[in-house]
Amino acid sequence: MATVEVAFTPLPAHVRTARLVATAVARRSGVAESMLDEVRLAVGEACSRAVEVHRRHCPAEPVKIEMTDLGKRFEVIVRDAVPSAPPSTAAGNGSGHTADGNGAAVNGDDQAGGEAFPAGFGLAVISGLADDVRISATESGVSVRMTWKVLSRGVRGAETSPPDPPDPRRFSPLVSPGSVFPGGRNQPPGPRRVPPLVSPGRETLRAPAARRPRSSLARRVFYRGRRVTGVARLALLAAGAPVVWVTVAYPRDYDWVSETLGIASGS
Amino acid sequence: MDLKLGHYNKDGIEVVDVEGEIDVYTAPRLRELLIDLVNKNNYQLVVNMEKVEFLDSTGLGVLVGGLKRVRAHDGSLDLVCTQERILKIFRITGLTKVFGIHDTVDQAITARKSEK
Repeated sequence: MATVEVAFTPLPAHVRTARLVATAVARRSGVAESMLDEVRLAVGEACSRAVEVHRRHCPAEPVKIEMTDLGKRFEVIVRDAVPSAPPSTAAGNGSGHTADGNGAAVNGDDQAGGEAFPAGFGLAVISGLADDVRISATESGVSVRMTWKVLSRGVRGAETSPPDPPDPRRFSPLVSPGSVFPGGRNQPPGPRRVPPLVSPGRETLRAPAARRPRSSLARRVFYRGRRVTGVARLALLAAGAPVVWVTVAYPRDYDWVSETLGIASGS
Repeated sequence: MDLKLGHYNKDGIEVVDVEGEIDVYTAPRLRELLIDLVNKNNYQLVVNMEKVEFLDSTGLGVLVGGLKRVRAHDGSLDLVCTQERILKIFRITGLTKVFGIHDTVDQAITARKSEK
């Protein structure tokens, strides 16, 4: 049973409420003060995404959030009620061009502010903020599960655990060329278990553990046995299409800002 | 917190003051303001985000959209921000390479004019 559950009408005005509640529950659960901004941002991104898909497909259905104190971890699950649908075949050939499926039709010029980014950008941001992110696409909808580490239960509000070493993931760009999993040059020591493909209808996207150096955008995505890259990959993530989670990377010299946004880097 | 917007001209550059939270609910207002400024031939913009409490990908999209619009007219859009919690999302997304981010409005104006 979740510690706190919230259901709200899919209106942009309520996303802030969800952020505030999640931050308050996270603080009470023992998440470090320094991490609360990331909780707030990640939950806001997940709720914004859910609100947008609900407004297009089922505006009468509420967006649901479950916040759970798991003792050593704090978990937030944002669920929407929009069944995932596979994108068109244009997304399956890895051409990198904009897909025509549900996920790609998100960021048009008429969307509330998010006109410049490809679909799935919010999910990519989330993966750079939470310790662990799992995105599950089922016939009943998409759920985004995020977890954060909780401080040891000493003096309430005090950081009793030793400070973590600087996490390069926090302040490295989403595109971290060269990081390859599994078996690449940056492969961390020790065995790595590749998550098995689960039963149809419940494929799961799984982010690697936070301690491993990784690029938030750099996850190898396969759709129906074929690798998908570029904007099509982001569209698949947003659409919640059934994919197999593997991981990693754009080529070392891939400039996603120029390629995707059409903006030359450097001001 | 609602979003408060204001703008004024300084040394030929339009400075936009933003205060509050920029998210999926409030971002459209900022977007409309930037579009309106460009339509009125203001192609050199500085967005002052020192009083911004929250910025998500929707807000980033608005800023990127504004940048693309002014660049279509050979203009510029610079940011003023020293808050680490706001700069974090720029770093995560790699957009620190795209926007000029300065500590003060005067520095942003000086830097832009020195490039001319």
